[in-house]
Amino acid sequence: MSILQKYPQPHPQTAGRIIDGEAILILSDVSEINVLNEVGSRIFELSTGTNSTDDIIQTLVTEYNGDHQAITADVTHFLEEMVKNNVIILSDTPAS
Amino acid sequence: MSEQYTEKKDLNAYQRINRMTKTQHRLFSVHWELTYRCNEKCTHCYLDVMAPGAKVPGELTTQEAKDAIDELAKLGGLTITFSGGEIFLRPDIFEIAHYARKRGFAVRFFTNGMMVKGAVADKIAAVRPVVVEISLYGTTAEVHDEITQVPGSFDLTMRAIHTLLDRKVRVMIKSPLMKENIHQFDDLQALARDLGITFSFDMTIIPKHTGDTTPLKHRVTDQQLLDFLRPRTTPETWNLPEQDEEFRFCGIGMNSLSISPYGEIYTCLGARVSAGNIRSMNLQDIWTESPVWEETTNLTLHNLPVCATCELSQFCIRCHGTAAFEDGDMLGCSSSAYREARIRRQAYMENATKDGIIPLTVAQN
Repeated sequence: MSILQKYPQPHPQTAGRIIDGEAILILSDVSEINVLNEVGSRIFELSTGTNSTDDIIQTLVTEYNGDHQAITADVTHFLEEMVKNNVIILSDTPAS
Repeated sequence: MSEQYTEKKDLNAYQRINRMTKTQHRLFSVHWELTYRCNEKCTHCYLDVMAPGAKVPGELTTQEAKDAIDELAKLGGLTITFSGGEIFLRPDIFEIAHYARKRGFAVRFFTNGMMVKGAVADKIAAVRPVVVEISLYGTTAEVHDEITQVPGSFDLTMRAIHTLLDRKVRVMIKSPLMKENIHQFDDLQALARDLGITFSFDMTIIPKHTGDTTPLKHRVTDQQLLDFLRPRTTPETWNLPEQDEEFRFCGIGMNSLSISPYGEIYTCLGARVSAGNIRSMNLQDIWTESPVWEETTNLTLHNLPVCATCELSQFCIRCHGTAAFEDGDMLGCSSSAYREARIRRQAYMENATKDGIIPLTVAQN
């Protein structure tokens, strides 16, 4: 299954809140704090487990009036990095 | 993490957001006392704790706690510290903690560790807390158990520390320093270092909230305090704060609140100024409409007439709540903070004079 069909959601170690458009994340296992920029924060905000990666891309294309191909590349790269750093997990099915 | 989407200096960004929430009175952190029942009877405790099996019908129910978490999340809170009493006496602690995690909160536990073994430790690990802070009063059973007044408690607390570390849970040892245990400070620090964990200490011993001053007799003596501060209070280690009229001794009322087991919302644990009760008002209204937030956030140096002219203010670690509880006036001098500040200045001056450095602001006083 492609990443586009998967459902990103916060990793069990991740606590996060969006404050004035900025996602502030606390990663408990590694005791790290991360703050995402505007676009990263929006991707995290949409990573609820109910939106697929493709849904997130569509939302960003609309909101930023951007190029679909470029946004797809950016979002998938970003999510892969977030998965690698145990910030996000990808599920095959939407969260209930 | 992808650099494209993160600020390079995340800690700075965190501090910036934390400051912003303070100046805008936006909720960031919550300290929640879930129960006043406890299985220890610590001599210095500021709470009038109840027996572990006491029937306490007024404690928030599981559902009330979950509803409060929903409201706290709506207000934008990010961290919750679950404290007691002894939190693991509440059978629903893990249900509440998991709910908080599900709603995006980072969770911290305060415990004495007495009940933390096997299955309980597994459940703690499953919550993925940021840290579990464990009260340890000494490095020997003789010292620790005398303070907790529970024989065998030292062994149980040490077991908890090891059991959690085995499960890769981040643990912090914290020790209030008193007459009875300050001689073990170096040993406590060494123990934490050997275990590879953080150690924090505090010399603040306050009266019980019932007004009972019994805990105060456990405060370190002047000589103990001076001996302790002398090697630790130098011009290199004590940065004299710049204190203009807007200087604050603490962040009371700015971006945090405390919740009692009965749903009372306080500005902080030290002051216990009630802003309302979540059983009679919703949290949003308490947070935005209660006048106590403005009253407490106005506690700048300008509004503390005694502190504003006190020659010790740069050495003072003042708690407004302790001033109110112990000396009867939240805006007045805190006699215990004054004592500490006087001794801290003495230690500082001894070191500064020795090094030939006397900062102008101190020399003028």
